[in-house]
Amino acid sequence: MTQKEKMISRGQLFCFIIQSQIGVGILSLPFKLSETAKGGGALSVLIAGIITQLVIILLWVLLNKFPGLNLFSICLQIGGPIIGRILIIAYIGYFVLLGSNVMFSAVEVLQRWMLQTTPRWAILALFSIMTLYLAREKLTVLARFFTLATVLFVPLILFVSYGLTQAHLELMLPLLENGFWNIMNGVKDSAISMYGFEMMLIVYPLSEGTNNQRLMTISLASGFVTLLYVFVVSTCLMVFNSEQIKLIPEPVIYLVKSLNFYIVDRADILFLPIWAITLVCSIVSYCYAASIGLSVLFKRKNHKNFTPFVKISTFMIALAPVTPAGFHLFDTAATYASYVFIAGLSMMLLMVSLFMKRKAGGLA
Amino acid sequence: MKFDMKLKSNVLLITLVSFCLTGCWDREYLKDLHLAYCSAIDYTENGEIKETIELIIPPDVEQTATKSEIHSSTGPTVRNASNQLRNRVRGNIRFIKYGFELMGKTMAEQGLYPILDVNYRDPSNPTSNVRLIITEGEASQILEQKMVGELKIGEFLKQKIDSLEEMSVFPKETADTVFRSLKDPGHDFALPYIDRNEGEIIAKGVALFHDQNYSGMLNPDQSIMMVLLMGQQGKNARFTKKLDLGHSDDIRNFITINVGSKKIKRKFKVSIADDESIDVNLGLELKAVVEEFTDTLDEKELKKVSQELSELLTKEAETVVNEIQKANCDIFGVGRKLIAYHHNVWSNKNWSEDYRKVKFHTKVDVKIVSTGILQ
Repeated sequence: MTQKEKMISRGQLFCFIIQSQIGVGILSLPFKLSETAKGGGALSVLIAGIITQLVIILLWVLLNKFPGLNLFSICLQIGGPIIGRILIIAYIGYFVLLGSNVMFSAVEVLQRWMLQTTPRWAILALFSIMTLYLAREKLTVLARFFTLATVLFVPLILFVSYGLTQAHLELMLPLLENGFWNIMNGVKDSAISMYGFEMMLIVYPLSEGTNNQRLMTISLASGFVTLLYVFVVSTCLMVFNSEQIKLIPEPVIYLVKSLNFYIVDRADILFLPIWAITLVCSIVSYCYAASIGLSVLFKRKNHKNFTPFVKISTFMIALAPVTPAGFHLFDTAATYASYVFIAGLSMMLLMVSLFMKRKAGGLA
Repeated sequence: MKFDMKLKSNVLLITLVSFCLTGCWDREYLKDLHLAYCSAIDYTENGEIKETIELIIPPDVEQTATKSEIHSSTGPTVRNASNQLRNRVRGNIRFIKYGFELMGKTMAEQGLYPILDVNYRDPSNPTSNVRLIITEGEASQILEQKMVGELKIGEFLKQKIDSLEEMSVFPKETADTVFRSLKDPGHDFALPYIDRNEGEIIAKGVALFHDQNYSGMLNPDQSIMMVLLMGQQGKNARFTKKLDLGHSDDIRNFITINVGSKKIKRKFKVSIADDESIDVNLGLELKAVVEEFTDTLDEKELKKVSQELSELLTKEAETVVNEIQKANCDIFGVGRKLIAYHHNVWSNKNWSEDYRKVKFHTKVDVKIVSTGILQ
């Protein structure tokens, strides 16, 4: 990859990471946490945020070993042409899997709450076309769109904040009702909604700033996401009691629905389309990553022509599960894949690179 | 030539794509719908659910009044009864403008949750501004009255509930706040309680609930006290009390005060003794405006009257708390406080029995702050 692309600014990097991190997970996070951590759900999210920061630092160390290279080129550098290619293919598979998982969950939620009679393939197709347009563009275009979409957090946060009028602190207490271990269990659940920061592996070489500045920006973005999650989770835990939240798989949307806005009866219908833009950003970033991977794999300068293939495969994968058992299997697969690829494989790359002799420069 | 080809293919593409854009599966035209404004739910003698609804039919000609129709049907579940209803009317009934649900007392005694489940489960049913009302007799009878004076029954009830909430007679509960209390082991709720008497629909007070079952009631005066003790208040809250003034014509001994127009200070404290017995301090500081009184009130009198009113209202509050405890209705959320702050004590308690053993210390302080425009 010798192609010169325009760099994205630090503000854009910040928005990029936020948009890829915030996905469909947060909508059901309070529900999952109430099963394990109960009142201490917010603590679980905080701990998950701290762990995320640690992983970010480790990934940053890896990226610094190979200045100017993204994840896929690093794979080639470390593994050589054969193992490197296998690693690239595995990572592409991971990005496709997660991209389709986000898309699938998004469509599930939209279908259950808003578009009950619209067939699933139609919504999936709409999402696919929408994301195809963006994902085949250059990173600067993506970054500009993501920055623009960040403005939409204002209404989203306002909607959830209005829920505080119904909140009772007592519903969240006692914080340690289920004990320390269950809070740690909750960390596992919250980690799923933290994914997306691994996009730094792709966009880091293409962003401006010194190494420290870039690390700072990414950490701030992840910190912002953690705090937003803590806010949303504690609001939900303060509005619903633990018996009630067991019945509500998407407490965030339910919260918005149950608010009385006097003029609008069902605010969730306003909330979901705004949310969908954020979801589009998540899906786009995964597809972009997968297409970049393909372009490195086939040594092409441009990823544009690979995006349709990625889109078609995400569409097919997202269409496949039809039964609740299928949904569950899909989710579990995505979860474990994330553990393996973000934590496992990246750490392995880091280890190998530490033992490897530094090659002259970072040129491929 | 090449340019032409491209133009043609673009035009073709746009035409094809616009065909795809016309389709939308989730659309509903208001003109095709029949809107149910309210419903009443009872049990029939053989244990089925009877659902009665008020349908609003849009007028054929613009700018004429809407018409209303009352229909009812039965079925084993609420949704099924609604479907039976759909067979009887012109088709599609939708609950999107749904304002409240009436439920008969016999039904409320058997538990609300099975009836309300459909409201929460189907996202197209609004819940945020839906009121639940308990009726003493059969709920459907109230709807079957169809009109009250010039007003349609649904409109009438809506206005009635709204204004009584403002007078602090009914606590402000919606379907959603009830959902929360239904599932909360440490918090119960109370709902408006109405009845029909010779063509008039009258508020009988509030119906108290334990868990999900009707367990007692309060009269309107007691309801106001309960609403204030809960920490809620409408725009007005009026009490009329008889003072010991010794006038021969009885009307001159009465005073009417309004405590709802000023800010109310409330104290609510749950404390646990060493033997795990529970004491609740419940105090109100009311600022009263005198609205009707035949004597003049100078400073000395004011103090005496305030004193006397404090005693009377404290006594009333005690009766109200007694009634509430008798109904086993944890309306103040004492259990919730225990769960949150004294979790060990809570896990030792069997709340549906131990709630009655809670000792309430109720105190109401009245201070007259205004006597209107007369002295």
